[in-house]
Amino acid sequence: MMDDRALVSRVKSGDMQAFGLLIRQNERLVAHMIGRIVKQSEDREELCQDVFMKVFDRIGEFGFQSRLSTWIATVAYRHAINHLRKQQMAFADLPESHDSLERFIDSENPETTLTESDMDQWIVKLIDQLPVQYKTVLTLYHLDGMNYAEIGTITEMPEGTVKNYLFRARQLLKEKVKKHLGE
Amino acid sequence: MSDIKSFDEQEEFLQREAEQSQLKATDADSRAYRHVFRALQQEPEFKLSPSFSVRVTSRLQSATTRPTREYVWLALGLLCFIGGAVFAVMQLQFTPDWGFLKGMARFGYLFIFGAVFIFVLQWVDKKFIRPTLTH
Repeated sequence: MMDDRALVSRVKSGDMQAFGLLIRQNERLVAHMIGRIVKQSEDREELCQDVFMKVFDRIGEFGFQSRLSTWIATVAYRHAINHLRKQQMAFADLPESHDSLERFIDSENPETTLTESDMDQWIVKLIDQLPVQYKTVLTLYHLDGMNYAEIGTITEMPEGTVKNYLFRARQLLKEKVKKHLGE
Repeated sequence: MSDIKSFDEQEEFLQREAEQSQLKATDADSRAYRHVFRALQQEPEFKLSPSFSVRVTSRLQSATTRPTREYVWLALGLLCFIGGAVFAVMQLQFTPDWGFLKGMARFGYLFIFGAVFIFVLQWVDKKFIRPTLTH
């Protein structure tokens, strides 16, 4: 596996094979970001393509202040948020009010008892219903193995806020699952 | 207040244990957290097609080659235009006549003032007037 510096320097010199390798190494991360933030499935693949086009255009600006994957995730996150803004979908207002969080927990649960894999799928769908900030930190932390500082860099949130959102998001999901389990 | 704090602390402890797969207790919170942490490792439904990287690189290549071709056509067009103009001037033995501009040459400063005035007007409009209209 080629290290980030060698890869970036080859991409900067216009090596398309190296850029193909960069895409393959980071496409899962970009798909996670776009897939979790953007709800319209027909837009997602094109948005992922746009992210890598931007990465190629701006690779000259990347100065290794962070890992390459963190920088690419930042480009993907901003692109997804800008897409939401263009679609005039609310992302900035995190429903901190007790009522809206209660509504999430009280919303309809599956009527039957779920098998383990069905339960996993149901929780994955619940994650999609969470506010953008919550599902972004959950995804970056649990699926992409990023730490609080890296998530803070990507989302421009202080580390303390990242930690708090991660805690609250897991707690919300737990309350919802607990309710389904009837306890 | 101390109850709330201890509740959060207890939750943090449960989350830490669940993250390290060390949560063995069978109470409702622990069971629910085990489900949640297992599901958090699941990949979302959306996946990119296997040919994704090929598609992006070919889109990029076509985007970079197209403008080059367009610039070549533009340069050729300009060259033909200039060549045609020079040929026409030579054929017609054309001599430029500045006409009324000769008389206006004495008022050159007026043209400079006009250009600067319009520029300043545009700048003031963009900087101070338009922002107050849009907000």
